[in-house]
This record gives sequence, structure tokens and C-alpha cells, in this order.
Amino acid sequence: MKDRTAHTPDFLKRKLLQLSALVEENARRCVLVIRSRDWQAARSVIELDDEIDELEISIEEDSVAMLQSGALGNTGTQFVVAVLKINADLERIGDLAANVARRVLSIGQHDQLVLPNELMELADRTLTMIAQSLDALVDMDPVLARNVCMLDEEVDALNRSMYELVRDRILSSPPQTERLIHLLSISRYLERMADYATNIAENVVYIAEGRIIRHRRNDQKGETRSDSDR
Amino acid sequence: MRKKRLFWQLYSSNFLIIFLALFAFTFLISSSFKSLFLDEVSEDLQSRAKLLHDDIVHRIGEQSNRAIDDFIVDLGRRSSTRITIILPDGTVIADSERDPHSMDNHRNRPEIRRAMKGDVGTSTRFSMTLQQNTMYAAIPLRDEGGILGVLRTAVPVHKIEENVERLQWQIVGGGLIITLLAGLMSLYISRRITRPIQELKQGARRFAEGKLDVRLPIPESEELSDLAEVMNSMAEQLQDRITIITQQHSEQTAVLSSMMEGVLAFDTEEQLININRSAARLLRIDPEKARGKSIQEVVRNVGLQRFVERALSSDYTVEGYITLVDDEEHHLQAHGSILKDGQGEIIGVLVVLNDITEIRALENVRRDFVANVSHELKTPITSIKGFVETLLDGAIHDKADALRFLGIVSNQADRLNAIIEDLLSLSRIEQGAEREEIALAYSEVRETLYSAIQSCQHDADQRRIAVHLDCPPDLHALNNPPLLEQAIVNLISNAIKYSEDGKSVWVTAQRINDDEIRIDIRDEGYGIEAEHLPRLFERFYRIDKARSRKMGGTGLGLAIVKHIAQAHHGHVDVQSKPGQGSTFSLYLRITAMEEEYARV
Repeated sequence: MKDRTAHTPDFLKRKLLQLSALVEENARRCVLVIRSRDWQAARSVIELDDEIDELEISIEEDSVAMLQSGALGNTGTQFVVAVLKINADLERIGDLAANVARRVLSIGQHDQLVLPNELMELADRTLTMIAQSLDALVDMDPVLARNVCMLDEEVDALNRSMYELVRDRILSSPPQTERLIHLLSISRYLERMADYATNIAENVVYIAEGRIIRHRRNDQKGETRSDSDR
Repeated sequence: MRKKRLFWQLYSSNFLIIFLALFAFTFLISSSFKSLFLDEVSEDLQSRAKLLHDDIVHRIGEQSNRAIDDFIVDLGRRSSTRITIILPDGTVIADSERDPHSMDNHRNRPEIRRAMKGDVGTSTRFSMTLQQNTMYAAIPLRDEGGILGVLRTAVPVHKIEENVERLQWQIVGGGLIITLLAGLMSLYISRRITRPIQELKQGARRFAEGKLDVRLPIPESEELSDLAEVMNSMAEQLQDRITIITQQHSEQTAVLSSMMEGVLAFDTEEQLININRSAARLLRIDPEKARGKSIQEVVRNVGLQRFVERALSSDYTVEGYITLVDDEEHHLQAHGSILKDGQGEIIGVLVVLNDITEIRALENVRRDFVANVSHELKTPITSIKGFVETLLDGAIHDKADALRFLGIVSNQADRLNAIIEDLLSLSRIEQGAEREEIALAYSEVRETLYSAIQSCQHDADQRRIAVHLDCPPDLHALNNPPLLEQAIVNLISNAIKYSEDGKSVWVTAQRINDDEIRIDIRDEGYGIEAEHLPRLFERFYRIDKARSRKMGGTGLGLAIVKHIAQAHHGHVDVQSKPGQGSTFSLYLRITAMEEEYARV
């Protein structure tokens, strides 16, 4: 990417996609780390997050410069604003992936630990949501983006059942408490990663259709949603 | 501007030419008719005057003006001609239409003047007397003495003009009919000229649409038939070239897609130009959707994105390693080199990807193996060395201690021996399989299984473990009995080792399809965690090192089983759940693979 194209929407989009690649990779790595509890792999997830943070700051600076230049039209401004939001969401996903890696380090390598199926399913769903929200971003596909928003409910449900599972296990075997708390945190981090993926998907709809769907979920999905919200 | 059709251009110009020609013709004809008529009338007037000449000259000498006038009136009525007689001084003495006394002096009328000079005078003009266009002809009246006066005859010309006009209309009418007929003919001719052009146009359009196999009809006219032939041969050449290009393209695609390596090409803007099947599979890309998009959109892997950037800015071939993360990690070796077109201009970059995940894994296995062998050998040797040194230091004098220590040394030496035996047999099997020296025969399996159980019977009895055999007597498979027995012994002794006292072990064998049998060794032991299962057959891989060593295992038993299975062109797998026991399954072939028949 050359300088002559700097500060154009296309350049900004490419940079954002670069960030999204980094973030998705790190999210995948952090899930692998949960399985392998490989100490070195966990460290490299935490290190890669620094790179994510740097790129995020650079994108933010470019966006602000573009907004200040005043050369953007109506849709251009809308695009840059959406980029700013997605940028922040991606950075948060990166942070959470690093948090997951830190928790894995706290659990330790040699501990015998059986991972609950719910957690691994939650991790898979979260990765799917991140991948699909980024696919939607690449293709500016509002249909796929809406699909991601639907998946969020499943992830929420899995996180709730993780909570119940951890609570029951703590009651039945108190010595495992610390380790179980770590698992619960990992589950919460993953669930929040999925939330940010949902935000990204919503912003994709915003760019593609110029509509804000963030606070209108009940309108979109009707009655099915309201029960699980309470 | 809208283009006019050739047909209309031809037709309208033809029509215009016809119309103009007819118009000019009509004009010429009618004007020459008119002058012809007028000439005739003028001649007629003159000859009438000449007929009267002698009679009038005679009367002028003898009769009074009055009598002459009466005669003229009568004459004029009968010949429907106006007749006037004028004296040389211009005085009118007789007129067939009017009273001569009321008339002007006519000396200055042009026809009169000419007649006075002795000529015949004619003139056509508006007559104030008759109030209409009139033609006059005047002749001098002369006797021997000279000119006595002038005799003038006149007729109105409006009749002539009417005639000419009627004639003109007839000509115009006829002209219009001719124009119409000529127009129709011109329409037909224009059609005939433009139709083949129209056909050529449609043919050329089909060429442009890529339908190069159709040929243009050859028109009759020379110019157009030349054109059609040139176009046909052009289409033929185009078709040939397109065929060649298509063929080259499909050859190229075939080469690219049958390559194991992933190949990607990007242009200087980092947009994907081409991707082969391997690369698409490796990077999980849909090639149809991805073409023409930027690398950031297509490949969500920063390592590859940066590699392409680096390759684009380098003059040399660059090399790099990229890690892809999906369900597991893939390690890729990447080579990137600049693409140049015929003029040496940089048009992009070519990236070749090699999946080295397996090579990496093999390297790791080999490195681990060397480390493991050294470690496994070092443990008993350290122990032997320690006890021998203790004996040398004086313990040899205490008989009880000495015997105990020597017993330990002997045990450790056995263990060392066992490890080396296993390593040797592992390498023998491996080499045998590699050089295809292991003889496989189509033989019964039951006997082999039975003798394997016999070998383990002693250990089983000590732990009160029952070993059950379930195998049809006529079950045959391609096998090498001593090797198969060794594999089964290893599996049964493992099953015994990792079961609690008093449990059972089952050995069952059955045919699973036309081509394969399966031998299961099932226990009710401790079971194995899922995460260990993929690595279980690696050399020296142990779930619990301390326990394994205490049991006297070398860490090579399952590796030997795996290699024996491979030497049989079969395979081995395991199913297990913690607390529920394990089942190891050995798959053997019944028929040899084709190329092996010769050897069997």
C-alpha cells in the first residue's frame, strides 16, 4: 500500500481489514490455547495484542484526519464513522483474546483439567460469529451481518449454562474453585467477544443500508427475542 | 447525431434526382411549347394581314374612310380577328372593334413603327382597348407610290396561354406518375443494394458476439463478396486463435490446479489475479468470488498480507514462513517473486505456498525421538553406574547388599536390553516395510491370535485377568504371522497392564468388508484422555511416565504395533474414554493391492 492512496476510504478499508485479519487470527489462537494450554502459544497471543493496539491507533488517527479534512461527502462521513466504531470493537476483541490467554496461563500447564463441552461450543460459536461478521464486512453483506446478530442469542445461552455448570461444580468440589472461576472468566470473555462481533455486524448493516439497527432488535426479530432478554 | 440508414440515403437521393430531372424537363418542354404556339399565331396573323393587303390598298384609293371601316368591322367579325388600319401619320381610319375616332394616335406603337419602315412588325402586349394581353402583327400597305398606311391584325393571346397552361399541367401530372413509378423502382433497387449489406452487418454482429463458427453468405456484387470473404477468413483466424488461447489457458489451469503447491498471483495494487485450487483449499477461499479483490479482503491472514507487500517491494525472490490458524495451525513456506510483462514492466507478484505442517511435525517427532532415546537409555545406565560404583567403593564386601545391588543392576541391564530390542525390531520392521521385504501370506488368523494369548497367559494369570478369544476359524487375511503375533502380544500385554486385577480382556476378529478384517483388543481398564489419543502411537509417548516405567514398558510397544500394521498395508486406531476402558483395532487386508500380487 503506497502513500499516494493514504487517506482515501479504500485505503482505510484495507487497513481495517488488515486489523480484522490480525484480530481473527488472535481469536483463533486463543481458542487453540484453551485446548492446548501451551505456555508459549499463550504468550504469543498476548504479544500479538500489542500489534493490534498499534494498528488500531493508526486507523483511528487516519479516520480523524479524514474527518478533519472535510473532503468527505455524506456517505463518506458515514463510512468513516462506522470504521471508527468497528475499529474500536476489533481492538476490544483483541484485548479479550489476550485476557483469555492470561487466564489460561493462570490455570497452568500441568494441571489435569477436563474442559466442559459448553465452553468449547461457546468458543466455536464465537469464532464463527467473528469470522462471519468479518466476511460480512469484506463483502458489505447486510444479510450475513443480520445472521450474525441472530447467533448472539445462542452464545448468551451457552454462557448462562456455563455459569450454572461452574456453580454446581464449585458446590460439589470446593478445591477446584479457583480453576473453575478461571474457566468462567474465559467463558465470559468469549461471550463478550461474540457481543463485539455482533456490534461489528450491526455496523456493517449501518454502512450497507445507512440504518442503525442497534437499539431496534425487538422490531427486527419480533417476539422470539423478548423472552431470552429478561 | 443519429446516423441515417444507407437505404434511406440511397433512396432519398435517387428520388431527388428523378424529381429534379422531371421538374427541369417540364419547365423546358412547356416554355418551348409556348414559344412554338406564339410563333405560329404570329405567322397566322401576318398571313391574314397579307391576304387583306391588296384589297385594302385598293379600297383606300376609292372608298371613304367610313366605308372602309364598315368593311373592316364585317371582316373582323367573320374572322374573329381584330383588324385596324392606320394612316402613316398614326390616325386610325378603321377598326373592327371600336370607333376609329375615339382611338388614340397609333404612331408610336412598336409594331406600327416597324411597319412604317417597310418591315413586318409584331408585338405582344396589354391592349388598353381590349383590356387583355394581345398579339399584334402589322404590315405596311403600299402601292407604286409608297406606303399608304399600316394594316394591323390582332388576336388576344389569353387563349394561347390557357392552352400552354393546360399542357403544362398535363406534363406535370404525367411527370408525377413517372416520379412515383421511378420512386418505386428506386425503392426496389435501394433494397437490393442494401440487403446484402444488412446481412453482412448481422453476420459481423454474430462474430462480435463470439459466434465465430457461422459464415457470412457471399453476396452477388463483387465488392461486397470480397468484403464477405475477407470477413469470413478473419472470423476463421480469430476462431483459430481463440481456440489456441483457450487451449493454452486450460492447459495452464490444469497445470496450476494439479499442483500440490498453492499458487496465487496479485497485481501491483495487491488485487488477486489468479489462484489455483490448492491455494484456495489451503486459505479457504472461493476462487470465483475472490478474483479481482484486494488481498486484505480475500485473505484474512496478516502474515500473508505482509509477505505479499514485501515480495512486491523486492527485486529478488523472497522466502518466508506463514502460520495459518483455523481449527489447527498450518505452517506454510512461501516464495514470492515479481511478475513482469513482455516489456519488463512489473505487473504483480507470484506467491507459491507449501504446506509444511507435516514436515514440521515430522521434524518435531525426530527431534523428540533422539532426545527420548538418549533419556530412556541414560536412566538405566545411570542406575547401573551408581550401583557398580557403590559396589566398588566397598559394598561388595557386604554380601547381602552386594546381592541386592547386583540384582538391581541385572534388572536395569534387562531393561536396557528390552529398549534396545524394541528399537531394533522397530527399525527392522520399518526397514523391511520400506524395502518391501516383509513377506505377507494369505493365511488363517486364529492360530496367530491364539498363540499371542498363550504368550501373555502368565502375566494375565498373575493378575487374575481372563483373556477371551472370539475369532471364526476360517478367517483369513494377508499377514506375516510372527509380526502379527508380536503386535497382538504388545496390545494384549498393554491391556493387562492398564486393567485392574480380576477384569477381562477380549480379543475379537471379524471380516468387515470384502477387503478387510478387523482385530479388536478391548479392555475394561482405566481408559485414556481424548487429548492423548492422537499421539499415542508415537515412539516414547507416555501418558504417565512414572507409571509406565514402573510397569516395565519401554514406550515403544504401540509404535511397534503401528509399524507392523503399516507393514501389512493396514492401519491401527484406538477408541477410549477415561474410566470406560479402551479398544485398539488392527485392520488387515484380505486381498493384496494389485502391484503386490507378483510378490505374494
